[in-house]
Formats: sequence, C-alpha cells, structure tokens
Amino acid sequence: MKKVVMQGNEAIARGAYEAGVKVAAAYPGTPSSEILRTLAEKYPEVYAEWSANEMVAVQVAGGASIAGVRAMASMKHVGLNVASDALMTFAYTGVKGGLVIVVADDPFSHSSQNEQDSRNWARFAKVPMLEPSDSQECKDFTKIAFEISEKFDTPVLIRSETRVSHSDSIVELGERVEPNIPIGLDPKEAPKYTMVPAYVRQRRIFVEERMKRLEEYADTFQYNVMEINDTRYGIISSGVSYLYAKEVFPDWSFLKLGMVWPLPKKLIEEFFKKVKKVAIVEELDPFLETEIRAMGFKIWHGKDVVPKMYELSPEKVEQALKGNKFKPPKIRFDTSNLPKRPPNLCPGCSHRPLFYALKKLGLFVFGDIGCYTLATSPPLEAIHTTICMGAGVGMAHGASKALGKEGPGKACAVLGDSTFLHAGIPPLMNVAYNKGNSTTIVLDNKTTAMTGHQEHPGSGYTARLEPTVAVNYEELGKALGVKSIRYVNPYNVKETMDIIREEVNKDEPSLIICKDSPCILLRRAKPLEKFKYRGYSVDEEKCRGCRVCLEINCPAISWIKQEGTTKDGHRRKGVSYINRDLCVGCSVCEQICKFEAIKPIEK
Amino acid sequence: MRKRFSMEILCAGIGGRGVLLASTLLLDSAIRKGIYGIGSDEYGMSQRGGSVVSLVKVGDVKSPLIGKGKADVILGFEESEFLRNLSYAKRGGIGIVNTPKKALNSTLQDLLEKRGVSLYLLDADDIARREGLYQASNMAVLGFFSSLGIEPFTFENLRDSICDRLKGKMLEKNLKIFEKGFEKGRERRG
Repeated sequence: MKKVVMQGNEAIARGAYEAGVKVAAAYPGTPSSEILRTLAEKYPEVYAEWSANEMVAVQVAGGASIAGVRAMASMKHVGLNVASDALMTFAYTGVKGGLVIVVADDPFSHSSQNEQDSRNWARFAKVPMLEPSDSQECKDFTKIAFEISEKFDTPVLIRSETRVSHSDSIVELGERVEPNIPIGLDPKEAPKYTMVPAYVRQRRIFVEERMKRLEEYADTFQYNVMEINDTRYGIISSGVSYLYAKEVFPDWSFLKLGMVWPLPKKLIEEFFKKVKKVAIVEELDPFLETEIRAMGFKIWHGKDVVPKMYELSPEKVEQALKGNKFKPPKIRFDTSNLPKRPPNLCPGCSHRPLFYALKKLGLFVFGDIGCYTLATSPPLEAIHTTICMGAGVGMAHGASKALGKEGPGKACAVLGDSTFLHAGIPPLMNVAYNKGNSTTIVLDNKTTAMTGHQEHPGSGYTARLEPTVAVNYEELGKALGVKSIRYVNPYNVKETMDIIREEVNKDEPSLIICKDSPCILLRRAKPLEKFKYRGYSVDEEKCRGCRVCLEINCPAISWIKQEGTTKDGHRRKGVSYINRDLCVGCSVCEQICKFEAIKPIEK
Repeated sequence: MRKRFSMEILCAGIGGRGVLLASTLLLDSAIRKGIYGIGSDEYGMSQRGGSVVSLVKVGDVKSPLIGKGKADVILGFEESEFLRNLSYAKRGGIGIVNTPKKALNSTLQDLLEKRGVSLYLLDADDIARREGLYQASNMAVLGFFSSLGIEPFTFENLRDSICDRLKGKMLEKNLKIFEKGFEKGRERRG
C-alpha cells in the first residue's frame, strides 16, 4: 500500500477512517485539534462534529456506539476532566459499536493550564489504554482500539501527547473496512445502558471480570513488544519516551508497552527474568513504576533519576541513566541579548483594547482559557486568574459574595465565545439564580481562535462549514435571568470603558457582549473592513516619546531611543515607530495618544 | 552490522516565514529516497512573528527531538533565531544563516571554528525580494543547502519535493528562488 508522511493526529484520523468509524466528535484543544479537523475535511464517510464541549463529544460518541456504529471522541488532557463524568459510567455500560476516546497530553504545558498524566484515567475508570509512539502506531493503534472495544465491551482510551500528535513520520495506508454490526436501537438492552443502582451492581461485576480478561489479553497483545539485546540492561517504556530511550541506548533490551493499562504481568515477569537491571523510562507520573513495584519487582532506576515533570528528551534520558558519566555538550554562547519573541495578541486583535480598558479601570479580572490569556504578559498584565474552562464566571461570583458590599466596581469575569458556550452558561445562570452582582464579559470573536479557528455553536457554521444556527448571547443571557445586558465595540476604547464601569458598579448581574470584534485572522468575517484607515504612522514632529502607546503591547509599535525635540520644542528621549507591514489600522494607539502624534494612512 | 546513518537538521526562524514548509520538504526528500524520517514542529503558542523551531531527523533515528550538540545541520532562516539555537550544533556540523552580513561577530566565528562548524552566510531575503516573493527566502536557504550535495538533500531531490508540494505561480517563484540559492552555494564553494 501507499506510504505517506502524516502527522500523528492525521494518522489517528486515518486510523478511525480505516476502522470504519461513522461518528466522530471533539472539542478543540492543543495538541489534539487536528484529529477532528482531518476527519471533517478529508473523510466524508465519517460524520464529524465540533461538540459544545468534551463531555458532549463523549456523549455523542457513546450514543452512536449504542446505536451500533464505531464512534470516536478526541480531546486534550484537560478535556477528559470535563468528559470524565461520561467516561466513568460508559466504562460500566460498555459499548455496541467500538467506542474510542483519544486524549492528548501536553507535558511541559506547551499550551495548557496544567501537566496532568492521563494514564491515571485508565486505572481510575477501569478501561484499557493504548499509547502510540509514532504516526504509524497512531494509525494502527486506533484501528486495533476499536477491535478491543468491541471484543471486550469497553470504551478504549488512546493516549497521545504533543510530540506524538505533532510529529510527522511515515504511514502505510490501508482500506476502509466497516464492521459488521447491526445498526439500530434495542429497548431490551436497557439493563446494560441504564445505570440505576440495581443494574450498576450487575455491571460492576462485569467490569472486574472484564479487567481480568484484559490483563490476560495484555500478555499476548501484539504491540507489547519485548526486544532482548544486551541482557545486562533493560528499559520498560511506552509512547514517545520509548523512542527517546531506544535512540540513546539502542543496544539495551526493551519492553515496549503499546498498552499501558492494564499491564501485561507475565510479560513483565519474563522481562525481569531475562534482564539483570531494569529501568523504567516514562514521562510525568511514575505510573508504570508504581504498578511494577507493587507487583514486587526490584527496579534499577525510575523516578529516582528520570524527571517527573516537563517533557523528556533523548538528552534527559541519557543523563538520567548515565548519571555522572553523562557529559553535556558545552557550548557557551550568551543568548540573553537576542530579541525575545514571546507570544502576543496579534496586531489589530479585539482583545487588546478590551484588556487595555480593564487595566485602566483597575479591575481584578477573572480570566479563562483562550488567546486572551496572552493579556497576562506585561505591559498589559490585565488577567489575574486562569484556571479552567468557565472558571472565571463562577469565581467572580464567589469573590463578589466574599466582598459583599465592597464588591461592586472591583472585578469582572472575561471569557471567549467558545469558552462561554463550553462551560460558561451554568456559572452565569448561577450568578443570576443566587442574586449575584458580578459582571461577565463575553469576548465574541466568532471562532475558537487559540486552537486554530474551529467552529462552535455561536459561529454559525458546522465542522464541515455548513451554515447553521448561531447562539444569540443576548437572548441566552435573558433566559438565564440576567437583566442588564450590554454590547460594547472594544475598538472604541472610551465607550468600552464607560460601559464596563457602569456595569461593574451595578448591584445586579451584568452580561457584556463584544460586538463586531471577530478574530483579526478570521478572513470570512472580513475583520479589516471596519477599519477606516489602512494603517497608522507616527508624526515625528509631534511625538514626545511618552511611551503611552507601548502600554497596549502591539507588535507593530516599537520605541526608538533618539534624543531630540518635537516641532513645538518639547524635549524627548525617543520616538515611537509603527511598523507599516504589521499595522492593520485598528486605531487603538491613535485613541490613547495624548498628543495627536499618531496619524492615519489612507486606504 | 550495517553502519548507522543519521542526519539531524534543526530549522530555526520566525513564524509565518515558511520554516514549517522547509522542514516538510526536507522530510519528503528523505522519504522519496526510501529513507526513514521523522519531523517535529513546535507550535501551539508560536504564531506570526514568534520563534519557530522545526526538526527533521532522517536515517536510523527514533525520536522526534534533537539534543544539544546533536544537530548535523542548523538552517537559520533568521539570524537571531540561528544564534538562539546554536547550542544544538554538533561538532563538525554545518550552519547556514540568512543574513545580509558578510561575517558574524568574531567571538562567534571563533566559537564555531573551534567546534569545527562550517558556517555559510547567505542573503536569502535579498534573493527572495529580487524575485518578488519576500516571504519565500526559506527556498533560497534550502537551495544553498542542496548545493552541498548531502544525500538525500540533493538539488534534484529537493526540487522534486518542491514540485510535489506547490502549484502554479507559487511553484514557479519558489523554484526560481530555490535555484538562485543553489547557484549562490555553488559560486561560494567554487
């Protein structure tokens, strides 16, 4: 068959396609987002949707499975926290069509709010988990996960991570084969799928028996592979950690686990018999180590030397196991003078003026998950908490209850449109129901921007870009019981400040919705059309070098040290400079300049 | 036993300037010749204007990451990003930098000389600008690299990969820039 280069996530999507998957659902999250996008764009045979959140995605996949088709849900590690309520009980009911849940971890938190190790979910939920190392395995493991799911009547977890999901390697393509399962719903199956106490207790026995059968299966699972080379040293590993270890110690013996839960006890025993010193190389938690120690084996090295946080690398594995014998390459070159390039909001982003307004108002801002976390960095520094999807709304309410009469005028909650629809509705309803007075600001940019422009229930399009209904935030807010609902155009800084000031000072719940503020990179929304001018430039005769325009942290604006005077004789230490290639003409700097030193460039 | 062969390339640049395309083309070229390869892109938080590093490893390699002092080649699509990643350069490796300068500062030149790193400077932006596609300076760097004739990253092989990935006017311009880079490389090496 044809061989092609594929990203890990594309290979998972390909695996689902070849396995005959009919329904796929996901909520975007780095590093998992390309799985559903690939299914939606490349494989019309698979119904693919962006669900409102990860729990909904698992519910959708679970329902499809019970109707007799193969179904998949995919998400990032923290997404499985949201979906865990569904997972923990689907673990009892089991499946009809194969049900696979892909969870992509993010060691080192490249783009996440924590670094949790999803392998723990498998043990907690009592379901099997597979962990691929490269793109070929991503495809193969996805396919076999569906077989395991049907054979053992269980949801199956696939754990990927940043370096697997976002690496490219060779994949041999196969044909799509749909499983031979009758499609349809059968009311007689209610005891299997209705988890009321009497039925739960029956399924509970099944879950334990299933785990025993899975343990036996693990010993014969074709992707749990023993490689006996030098028998003095051996490594037990899985996923990308295996690749790091194998690259550094190619002549050692290996037990590579394709299935990380349950563990193949006999195979592990055999490996310890054959190899003298066994080390365990795994990223994040001592998951394998804890289990293998509990089996009674003496481990040469594990988390005593292998870092338990951040991601591993060949270098870190080598250093851990060689100890003092490891000589790190010495290249002394000072990089501290190089220009720093921290991530920043894009030039013209509608979040920039909004956060500038919040900063000027001196508010404590309960933030959320999205591009706007970038407003944390100096000089904006206008986000003061980031916890999880929807958290800001609930927290602002809690804080307002704690502050009592002192509360109004001090704080607000801010979250994006996709985040609001994902997890912001219940906490907003809670504010109204519990007679709160906090203000919630929805930064409606018409897309899930941070993860690469995925559609959501407020964007007006499905994953396949078919037009569909879009949530009306104002009507929604009203229905939840919020009476004070306002719109702001964030590009008008003064008006935005006035409206927010009024709302945060009210002793009732407020909802502020950003209007005409689509993501500046969302071409469909023609974000540049509303700007009157092509861009702005600095009038050097007027600029006093006061640096006020730098406070918005726009990538297009810099400051050049250069002693001199303005035309009207004011001494200055430098002048601002606007990079015309970057400036999109949002006019925010012009609005905040006190000396009319920023002038428009006609379109 | 067959001798282990591997080639590890680090591509460093800034977002939106074709770093990822360059690494994809390198990976394609290896696979075209039946050589195993693995690539890794760092993105997520990196965006337009941010630092971007993309890794390509071919031959008897396993993992997607490159360790400090392990990169056979560093392709610097922008000078400061090249410098930021210098600690990855292998003894006796190769560095190609897109810069208008005729020489980097002397401490740096000494440091690289001591480690036996062959350094090539190329004004790729100028080549691309002359062809009217400023953002395709990556192609000039790839062209220059191909002039070194290191298998599987030869001129013909990389050119075929470019032809596979791009179309129409873009292909035409990118190829032209790639060829100009190649010629500069040949002149430079005499």
